[in-house]
Amino acid sequence: MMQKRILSLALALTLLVAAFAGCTGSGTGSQSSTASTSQTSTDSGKETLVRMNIGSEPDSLDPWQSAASDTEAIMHNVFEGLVLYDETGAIIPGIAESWDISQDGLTYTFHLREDVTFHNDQPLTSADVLYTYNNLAGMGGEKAVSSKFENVESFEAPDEYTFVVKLKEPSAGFLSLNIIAILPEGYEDQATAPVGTGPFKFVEYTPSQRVVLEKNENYYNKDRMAQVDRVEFYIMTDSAAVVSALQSGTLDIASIDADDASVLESQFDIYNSPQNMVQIFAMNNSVAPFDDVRVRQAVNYAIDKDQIINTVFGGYATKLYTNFSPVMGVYYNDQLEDSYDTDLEKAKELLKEAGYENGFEFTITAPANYQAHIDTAQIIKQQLEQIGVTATIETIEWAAWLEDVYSNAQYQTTIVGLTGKLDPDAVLGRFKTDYPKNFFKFSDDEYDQLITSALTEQDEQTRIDDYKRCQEILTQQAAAAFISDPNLVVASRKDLKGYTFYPVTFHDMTKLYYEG
Amino acid sequence: MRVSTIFKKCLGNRNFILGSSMVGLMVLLMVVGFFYMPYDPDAMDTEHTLEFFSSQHLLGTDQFGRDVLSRIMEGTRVSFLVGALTVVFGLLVGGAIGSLAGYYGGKVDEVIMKLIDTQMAFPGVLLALMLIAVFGNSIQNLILALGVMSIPRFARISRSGFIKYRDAEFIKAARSRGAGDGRIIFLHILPNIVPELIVTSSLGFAGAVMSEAGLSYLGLGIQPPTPSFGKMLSEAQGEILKAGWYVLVPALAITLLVMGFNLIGDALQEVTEHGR
Repeated sequence: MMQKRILSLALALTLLVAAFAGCTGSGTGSQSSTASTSQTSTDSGKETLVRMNIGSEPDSLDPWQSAASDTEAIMHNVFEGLVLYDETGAIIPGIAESWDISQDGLTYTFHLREDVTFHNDQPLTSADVLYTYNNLAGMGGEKAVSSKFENVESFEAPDEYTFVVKLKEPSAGFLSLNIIAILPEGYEDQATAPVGTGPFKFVEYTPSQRVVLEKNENYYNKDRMAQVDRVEFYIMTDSAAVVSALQSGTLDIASIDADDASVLESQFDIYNSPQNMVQIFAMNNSVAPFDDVRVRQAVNYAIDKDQIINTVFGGYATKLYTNFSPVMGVYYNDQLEDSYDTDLEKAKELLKEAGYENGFEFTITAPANYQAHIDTAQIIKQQLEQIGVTATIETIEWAAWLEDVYSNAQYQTTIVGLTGKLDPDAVLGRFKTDYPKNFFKFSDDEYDQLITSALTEQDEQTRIDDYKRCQEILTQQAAAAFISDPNLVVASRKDLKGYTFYPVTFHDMTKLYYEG
Repeated sequence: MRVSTIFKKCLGNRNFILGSSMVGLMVLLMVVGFFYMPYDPDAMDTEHTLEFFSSQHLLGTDQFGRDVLSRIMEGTRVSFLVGALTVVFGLLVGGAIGSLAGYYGGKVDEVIMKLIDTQMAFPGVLLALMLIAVFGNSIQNLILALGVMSIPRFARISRSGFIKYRDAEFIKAARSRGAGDGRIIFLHILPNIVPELIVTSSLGFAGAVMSEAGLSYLGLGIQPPTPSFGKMLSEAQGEILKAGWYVLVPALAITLLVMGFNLIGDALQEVTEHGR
């Protein structure tokens, strides 16, 4: 029994200590080994080094095996596709210096640069591109690596530096698929020693510690040449550990929780930008009372998004009005801003019209592993009480959420973040009636038509207008309450400049440089 | 030993005094909470978040500007409810099957104890996680899971008590006078193992409070916005760099409850064992 008491006491203390444990969590093991190099990073003439964090273990270094966006965020420095994207999400030349699209939209002819070499000094030719694409699409007896190339009829490499793709149907989203990495033909060791064409070369990966890259001196594009010599990404899963690593000088730049920005803003430069995510309060459009558009609108009027942004995200989030983040530049419909400004009277009126004068009760099913969404649920519960609507919060495991809510739409309301894509079709297509994971159960004929026609539309302006109209429909129909796009927040040493955000997760190391 | 003498000895025991004042403080907070709370524990005031102790908010405010003291007061209800129901569940079910195993022995004993051993092989938290994953995330299922977790503890204690007494002279005497099994179990043996069961209950209570805190720290069981110490601890952890004091409040509450019950259990054990 004495032992048991000691055990219990120890456990009680452990809980207490657990709260502090984050400060000494993962990453400490590797910090000591780099402490000696930290001084050298600012000395000009010597090797310049940037140390950054990543939030999870790379799932695989081989781009054909990897699916995690964190891995993509760092390995996109090593690998490149025929095309690249810039800060606004626009497609720019990469390995292909130009391309032609036939009148019928079915044939894409890429003209490759002639000065590209892989990191193993092998020159890149159309044979490598053909090899890559055959594998991606599963042509020539290979198993398809990606499901995105099902629309492809054939690939050809008529000469060393030309690559031709023929599609089965015109697809406006096809060009953006070509950001996918080009790999050297016949090279088998991508999973252990990745070889690409990017501005950085892979050096080493120590599991659960770090990934190291170094400058590719032979990079073909002088404008995208790396400005630092070496980059080290430390794998750190705990946000408190990241903050203390920054403060102790073992990281130069780091992605941080919005919550921690206020602690760091005096010593570091804080950059933030919308991350192209839609944090959504989804109401199941097929179940009462949310099958009534007036009820959904009332909920929209009752929710004060600013309060959520300030409390949950410490102000580092961008208010949304439709299922689209402003970071998506040209496709974003900015005419919708200020729709559903908080108006409790209007909300009550709409509820009355819908026959819910005395309010109603419902459940918010929130994924238990996302504290931000649970916190948002608590605030929404509080806000809806003001119009007489009572919410009960139920947290469920992520796997159960995926099953019940995402796949089977067995829920009343939920809160989740929809990850952004470069292609507006992938973002707005989620609300199409026959989209398999349309868990909002939103259905609108005009919307479906617009989504379908925009996909094959060749005229860019018409396509943009279609997508803008789609966003308008979502807002008018109050398909959901679109809350915010939680910003990515990066804290950087004051002398380290140039961190750039992209509409998809990508830590572009070529833009970083030390001042002075 | 008579109850009054046990009680007297307890009062002379330092651990008992210390433990019961810790638990007493938490009970006081809970009882007062039924009649008066400084604020609505769920009312948010997003203009005043993470404020340090002040005369308006004796224990400060949390990340939503909710009054921490009021939330602690409501949180004690959850802890006591979970602790008490878990102990009752374990006592009834564990006590019953332990008695059967101990009293009848033989095959019955073997089968029951093998099952108990199998259950003990599962780590408690994993078992609770599994139950909650299967039956859903709610306070009922949490209590059920913790109750099931506490069965072996009670079963083993009552079994060993029954084994000790089932062949004692006074039981043989009762049996020869024609007393039935029921009478012997309830009137002759059970009263003799009450002290052990009380000690186990006290420790079981502490264990349940601890497990509940652990599970709600992981986001299981108690649903927000209902406060629970474990939940508050995990929320406070997120704010540790901005308001380090906040984490201490729920941690202290858990420590008081768990340590208090452990000390009481120990004191009772000492007192009852010395008597023999």
